[in-house]
Amino acid sequence: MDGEDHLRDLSRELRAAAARLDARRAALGRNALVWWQGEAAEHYQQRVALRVTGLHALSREMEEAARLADHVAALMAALQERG
Amino acid sequence: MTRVAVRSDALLAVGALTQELADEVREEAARLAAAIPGVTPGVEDFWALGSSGTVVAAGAPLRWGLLRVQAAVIRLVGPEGAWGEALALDALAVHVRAAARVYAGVERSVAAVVDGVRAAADLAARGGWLTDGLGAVPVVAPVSPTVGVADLPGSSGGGRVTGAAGLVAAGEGLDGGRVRVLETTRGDGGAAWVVVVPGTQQWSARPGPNPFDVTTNVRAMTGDATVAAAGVAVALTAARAASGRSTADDPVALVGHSQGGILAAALASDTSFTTRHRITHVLTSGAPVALFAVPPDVRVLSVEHTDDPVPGVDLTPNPSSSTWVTVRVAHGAAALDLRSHGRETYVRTLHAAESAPHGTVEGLDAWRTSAGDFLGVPVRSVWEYEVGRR
Repeated sequence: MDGEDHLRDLSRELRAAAARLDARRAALGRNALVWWQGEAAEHYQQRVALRVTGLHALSREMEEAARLADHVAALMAALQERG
Repeated sequence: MTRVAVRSDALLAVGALTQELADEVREEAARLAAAIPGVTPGVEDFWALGSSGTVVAAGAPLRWGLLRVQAAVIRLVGPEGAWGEALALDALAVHVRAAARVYAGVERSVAAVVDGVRAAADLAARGGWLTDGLGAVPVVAPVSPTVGVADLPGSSGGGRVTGAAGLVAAGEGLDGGRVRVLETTRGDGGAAWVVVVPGTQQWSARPGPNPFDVTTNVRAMTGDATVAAAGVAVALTAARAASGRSTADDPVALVGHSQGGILAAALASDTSFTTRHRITHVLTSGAPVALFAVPPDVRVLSVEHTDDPVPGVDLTPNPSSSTWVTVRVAHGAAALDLRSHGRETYVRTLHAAESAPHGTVEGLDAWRTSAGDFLGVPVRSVWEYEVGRR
């Protein structure tokens, strides 16, 4: 496998990881525990919101890295073609 | 009392799920880290992976691009990325499990209190106290209503009950074991039924002929069937039969203050009752009803004064859901005061809440709108039944 293939694989892996993180983020958001009230519950809700935001940012960064890997792979392919 | 343990069970389940998420994110980091080696041996080594030596001569843009990919992926799996998120989720799971332990402690206390009440009631029963007695049955007899459509407490002109305050006020004057049943005319001409269940009328611990007493308070709270609840069920069935307009689909609202609220919630969660009557609404005031498993398709409105000690005797907050609205109002001083338990004070509280601009009291408008078969429509008949214990 050459460098371009490695980059393409890495890109696919990053995109798949981002999709799985999105699914996990949704699962976390569903743990609303609406009956739970009071200070501890508010603290929990804030922490869940933070983690949901964190997972969202992480999956976006993974997609960005995947795009970057695609660009570099394309550049590598172009350079190889030019010989 | 497994029902009491619902909250800690739910928290434990969420804690386990959060821990699972943390582990999955950690696995994600490991998977990505394993995908890096093609890049991480070093940019120079990586270049050598190119299929031709020309890549080596590709120049700065490619070199810069490879460095950026490498740096981005390393960051994504590290403490600022997936590993960091996994650790934060670990901490969240620990937080939830700790809360579950606290709740479990509270639930054990509540269960102990309720079980203690039951044990005390059972002990008292040996002396003929606090027991409906073996073979005790309700005796229900129709009586002349003490109020009519025109002078129904809580109604406005034209014999219409326009709000929840009016429904609570409709229980005024009920004594001597009386249960009041209102028949309203729905928009489509059909009938709807409001059962006004009285509160405690006899305060002796020894059961007498009036079943709306302390025995019923204790027995209903501990989940036992009571003569009073059976009597209320018979009264509703009798009113529907006497009307001649009743159909199986008629909606029924159960309204009760104090013990009446306990019985209303007990009946709404009793399948032998709900298979015969389509309960759509329950309205309780000053009643400890959190432990009753009222079905989610029943719209419950519970009103509680924070300084009224009665609604808190179950030591449990009411379930919070889209169909169970609890209006908790700081009625008086911070200290508990039994004077705030009076039905009239609850009528005033509800009246004030319903007079406030729409949306002021969360959930109240929605409950009132859903109760359109009972509110703002004409009351066609008032029936009263005397329920006795024999």
